[in-house]
Amino acid sequence: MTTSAACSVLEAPLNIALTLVEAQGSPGLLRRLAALGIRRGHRLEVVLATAGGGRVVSLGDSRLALGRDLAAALMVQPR
Amino acid sequence: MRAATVGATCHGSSSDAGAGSGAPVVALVGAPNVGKSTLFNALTGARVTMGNWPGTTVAVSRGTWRAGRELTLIDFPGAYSLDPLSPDEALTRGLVVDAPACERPEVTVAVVDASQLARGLYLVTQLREHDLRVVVALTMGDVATSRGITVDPALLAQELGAPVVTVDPRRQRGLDELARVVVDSAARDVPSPRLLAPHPSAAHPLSPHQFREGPTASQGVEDDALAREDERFATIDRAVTASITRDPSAARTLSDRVDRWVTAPVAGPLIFMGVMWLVFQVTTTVAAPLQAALGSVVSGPLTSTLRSAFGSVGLGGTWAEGLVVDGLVAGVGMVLTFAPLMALMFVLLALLEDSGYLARAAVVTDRLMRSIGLPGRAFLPLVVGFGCNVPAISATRILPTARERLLTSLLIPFTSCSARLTVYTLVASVFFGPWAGTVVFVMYLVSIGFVIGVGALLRTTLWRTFGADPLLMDLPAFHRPTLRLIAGVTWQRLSGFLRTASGIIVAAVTVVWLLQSIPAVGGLGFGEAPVADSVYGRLAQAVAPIFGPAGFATWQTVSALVVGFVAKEAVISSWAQTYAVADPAPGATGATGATGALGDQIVHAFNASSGGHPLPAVLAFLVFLLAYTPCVATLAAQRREIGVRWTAFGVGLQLVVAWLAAVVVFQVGRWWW
Repeated sequence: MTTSAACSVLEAPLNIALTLVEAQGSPGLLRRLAALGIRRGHRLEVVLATAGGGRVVSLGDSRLALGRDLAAALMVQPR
Repeated sequence: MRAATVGATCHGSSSDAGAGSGAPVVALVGAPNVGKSTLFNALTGARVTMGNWPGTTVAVSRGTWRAGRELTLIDFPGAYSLDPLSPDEALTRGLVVDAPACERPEVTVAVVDASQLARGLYLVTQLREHDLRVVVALTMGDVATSRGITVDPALLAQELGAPVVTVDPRRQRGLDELARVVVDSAARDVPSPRLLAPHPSAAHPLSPHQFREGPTASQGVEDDALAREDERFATIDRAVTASITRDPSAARTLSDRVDRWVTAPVAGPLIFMGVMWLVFQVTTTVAAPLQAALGSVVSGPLTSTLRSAFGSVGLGGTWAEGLVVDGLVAGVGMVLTFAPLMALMFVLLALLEDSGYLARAAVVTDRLMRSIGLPGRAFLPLVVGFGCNVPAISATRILPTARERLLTSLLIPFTSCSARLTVYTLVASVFFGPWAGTVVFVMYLVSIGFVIGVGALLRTTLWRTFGADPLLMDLPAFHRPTLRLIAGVTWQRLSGFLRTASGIIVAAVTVVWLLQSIPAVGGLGFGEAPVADSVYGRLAQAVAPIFGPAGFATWQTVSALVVGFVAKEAVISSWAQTYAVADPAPGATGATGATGALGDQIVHAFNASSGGHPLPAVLAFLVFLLAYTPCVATLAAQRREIGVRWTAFGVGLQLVVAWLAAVVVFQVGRWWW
């Protein structure tokens, strides 16, 4: 992917520093994401591809497992 | 809508349990997996009651904390924020924040994971926006150190405007200091909130709307909410930057390396199956000899001692002896035989949860379980259910929401436990000869079919929005489980189960004994009538015609099913009793001759009741046995986990499903055989 193009977490390469650009979902989901540290402008890295097609992302000191659909709905950009 | 408040109301006396009505209330809040419950257990010791908050399905623990003075400590379920996104978080918000000032807890202790400081501070910054006394307890210091993270509690306290205490509940460190700080805090005035903005509204989306221009009324509200969020995160960033020092040379942790395998697309599921196999083995093969040993002590030496005791005071053979020995003691014996099984189950659960593996297992199974419409973590209780339903019901505690626990608890009785297997084996060998093994295997497939089918039925009728949440799960660091902690929690759960289960089980066993002893014909004394002429027998005869459409309307068959309600293991011996024949030899399989007199009687009974189509009737019977009702010990466990009403619903549901399925199997089957 080019330096300025955004892609979803699902498509993003592993172990690259990324910034969250946009999160698509219901208000409830977005609040839950924010409480867990996923918010526009926050830094994250995609660390693992899991069984079932999801991803594990690393946010600073925390790790979250995301399902495939959710990973497709989070747009990121390399830092 | 709240049925009760945390402590003293503004108008009068307080709620039950805890340190008594005068004691100040301290709330323990924080995200899941930060060691909150470990801290709670360390602070309260054994002085704890667990249960649902009145009027809700939220599980809350209350205990007495001897912190210099006696305090009532309430352990709220895990909450990442004060936004009421689930019943758990709504309760926390309702009782800690939305209550009027005099009904709030005196002090709110926010438990924060030092190795994930930024996340834990989200809740703390929200708490600091209200009129609350907040104390921060920092846990997981060892995990932080292993990642090269050091947190300075004094600097953090300065940034947050709330005292910060480092604690290690596993090693019992920092607890006295926490006590001192909390008591100290309670004596002071409530500090002024961090933000002077108007009370945060409940709706503040973080959506792409923020990119659009144009003033609207709702835009104003969103901007306010976003500005508050920005301010919150700015505070969190400042606090983290000020108080954390990192060692850049900290190596990639063991946790990370294990995760690579445990959630991987191929290795993950394989490891998971291995773990499930182990769980299944422990709850069947390992537990069984312990159960058998306990059972034989009760039915052997204890029973004969009691009988001779009754004999020696001249009460041998009377109803008093029967009541005590065949009713009460037999019932208590049955309860006790479950103790080793439940203890093993609780230990396993605690190990899996505490180590952090369970979260990974949920990730691995999520897609499969979602595709059949079940919650991801339901895999473990369902697997255990194929060994025994009783500990499986307790295993539903690992499911995060009450709805998931309820759905899984209602489905577990459809998993075919090993006690049912004993009946399948006997009946299949009598009727199907060399095909017996295949028939038994098919029963297991039918069992899985029931779980999936009834699950779908319940979801489409009762819980239509179920399963809509995407998988979004925190992966806590792997921990070496603390054995002392596990032992404590296991004892707590086991004694709770024994207390509540024993009543139902003893009652059920005693009632059956009573019905079998009361004669239904004149001229016979108590306990002298053969089963056919007892009240029990008459009831079975009255009920039997219901099974006409299913092809097995013989009262002896039905009577065996009723006994199966008490314990499936007792079906065969009770069946033999109704024909007044000897029990078949244990493990007897094969042709009719090997199973002896009972087998002959059963063949005769099915031939007669099915109008010449015995095989479909036998299959119908087996299907009915599979689904009709859990044993009374399972009901006791269900009552403990999901309450009386839902347990009763479950019984009704199962009877209906079982009867319909049996009727369908017979009516369709008899066209072929």
